[in-house]
Amino acid sequence: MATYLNLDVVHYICSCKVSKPLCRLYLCKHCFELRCQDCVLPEVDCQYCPNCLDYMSSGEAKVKKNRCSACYDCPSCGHTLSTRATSATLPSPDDPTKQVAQKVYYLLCAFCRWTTRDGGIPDQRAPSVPWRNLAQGAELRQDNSKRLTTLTEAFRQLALKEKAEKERKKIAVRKKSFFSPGLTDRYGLASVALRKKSLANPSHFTPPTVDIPEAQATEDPPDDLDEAYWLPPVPEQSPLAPGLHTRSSLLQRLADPEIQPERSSQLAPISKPVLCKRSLRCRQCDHNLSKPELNPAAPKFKINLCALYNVPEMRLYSVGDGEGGEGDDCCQLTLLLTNPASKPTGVRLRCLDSRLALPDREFSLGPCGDAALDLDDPLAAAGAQSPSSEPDRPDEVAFRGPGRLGLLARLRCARQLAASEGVRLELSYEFRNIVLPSAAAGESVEVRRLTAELLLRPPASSGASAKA
Amino acid sequence: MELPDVTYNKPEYIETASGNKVCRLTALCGSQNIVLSGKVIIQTEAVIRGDLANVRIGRSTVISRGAVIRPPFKKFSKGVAFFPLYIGDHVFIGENSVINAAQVGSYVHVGNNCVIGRRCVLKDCSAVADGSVLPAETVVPPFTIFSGSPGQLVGSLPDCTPELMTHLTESYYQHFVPAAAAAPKAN
Repeated sequence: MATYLNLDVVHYICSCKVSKPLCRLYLCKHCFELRCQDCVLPEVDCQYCPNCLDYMSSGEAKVKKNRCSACYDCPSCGHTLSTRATSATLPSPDDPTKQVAQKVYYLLCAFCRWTTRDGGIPDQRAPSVPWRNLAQGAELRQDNSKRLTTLTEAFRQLALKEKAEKERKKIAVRKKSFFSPGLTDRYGLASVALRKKSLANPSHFTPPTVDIPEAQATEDPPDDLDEAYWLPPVPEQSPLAPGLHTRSSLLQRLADPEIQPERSSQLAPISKPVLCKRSLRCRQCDHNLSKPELNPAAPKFKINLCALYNVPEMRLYSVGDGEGGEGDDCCQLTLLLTNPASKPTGVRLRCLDSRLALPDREFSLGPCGDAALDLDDPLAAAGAQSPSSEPDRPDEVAFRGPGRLGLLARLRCARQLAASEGVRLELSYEFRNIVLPSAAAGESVEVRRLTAELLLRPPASSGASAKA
Repeated sequence: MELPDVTYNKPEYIETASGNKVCRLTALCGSQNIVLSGKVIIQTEAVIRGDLANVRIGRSTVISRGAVIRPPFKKFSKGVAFFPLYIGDHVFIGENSVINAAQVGSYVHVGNNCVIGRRCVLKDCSAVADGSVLPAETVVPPFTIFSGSPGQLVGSLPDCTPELMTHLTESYYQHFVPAAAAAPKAN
């Protein structure tokens, strides 16, 4: 998409001094500052599986370890596995001596053709079974999870103990300053002191029930590794050494960090990690900047203060040639300003760099509408006229459309610029803020003057190839 | 940068009352099963297999040169069944891409030389990068970019993707002009 829209040519500077395309920024309607995803507070609204798009609450996701229980990724290539049914002759559940045809299920990767049979998992009689627990190495995984539970419990106990000690120290200091022997009796604080004393006593807390292992130095790596661990050197004449295809690749091992299978026969289906829908909140004023709807398949928002809806957008419309003057190293740019509002908006562009010369005065952008791009529409054509009484000068304005204005600018040292940072501009614009209806009057519109800093980076070839 | 004008040879194209521009050098099989909702551009050498099942294409969608739109099929024990293919509004399908999806939502961008496998679902506001291969039955959730072979999630799209895609498809339509009329066009 970037190839068509060229979003990286003009960047806006966020309040945290990071430059981003306008579509990636938000305008806080309470602090009137631009915010980017890095300087807002994200909150997880809900989790969902990217494959089945099933909604999951945060608590449910925590229990399921942020993975979908129904969808699996291929351990070999990473594509989603699909369930396939086939029939097999199996002993009848009623009479084990009889063989009957039954429907059995397995998982298949439609891309690399890996199946659960390759992973040593027999076909199952039901389509939705915990496939991962049936794979090789499931015991090892269970052992690991037991060990992790023990360790988590031990650390919880340690944390409790440390907290208790900290609390005790705090109380001990207070006791020294406030509870001198004379005071306690006079004001009847003996009971309070007694309670605090019992709190301060470490024996009040139950000792840890889990054995906390002492820290130990690790042993040196064993020298006597099994011969089978090492692969034989690959013979030069054979591109695929015997046994090489039975080994898993590094990516396959890292995709399953719990057991890191070394052999391709040990690969097991990987539960699909879930995605989350996030709402964004301004760090300064705590107001919501973006709040999506909970339905994972809906691209709708309850609140969406994307800067594109509120800040006039500047784009580089075209790059012309220099028309002599300072030779080839000068070019004429047409900057396109677009009005996001349905009311006329005043804008003023000022260059913070001497290399770009542009008309330094206030322009008025006509209102935008649904018919903004339809020039045949007479209503839209009316919006294309300059809203102010002053006519546009042809050496300043290239064209006007409904809600759009093409400004002419001259850029010097275009070739040097391609390699450097870009040109900094300041855009000052009117912002109409709809203030919530108060008790006295209905909703009112407050017009503010806001400024945004821009960074214009013409494409690298603009200076040289302008004449092409 | 504004999109450059894309010129076409006027006798080669048919323009319908609702503004669809369809090249005569395309293979539109089973045209009674193909519905174009208006301002749709179908460029040279594109193929739409309406003879297999219904194909419905939303407003302001661009189908570039050499793209193949083919309803997906599913094998059953008693043969093969084809399913209708729905493409939403403001969708851009790049050159030489093959679309076998069951559903392509609105505001979707499919790059050049992509293969979208059978019964894939591309949700609204999603994108597939150039040269990607989506195997059969892949689901692309909203506001995500898929890339690679097999296509995997590599990034996210901004919250204002509908506006960006609307702008892209509408300005593409505006700049898609007959060869003779290309020169005096102002903006």
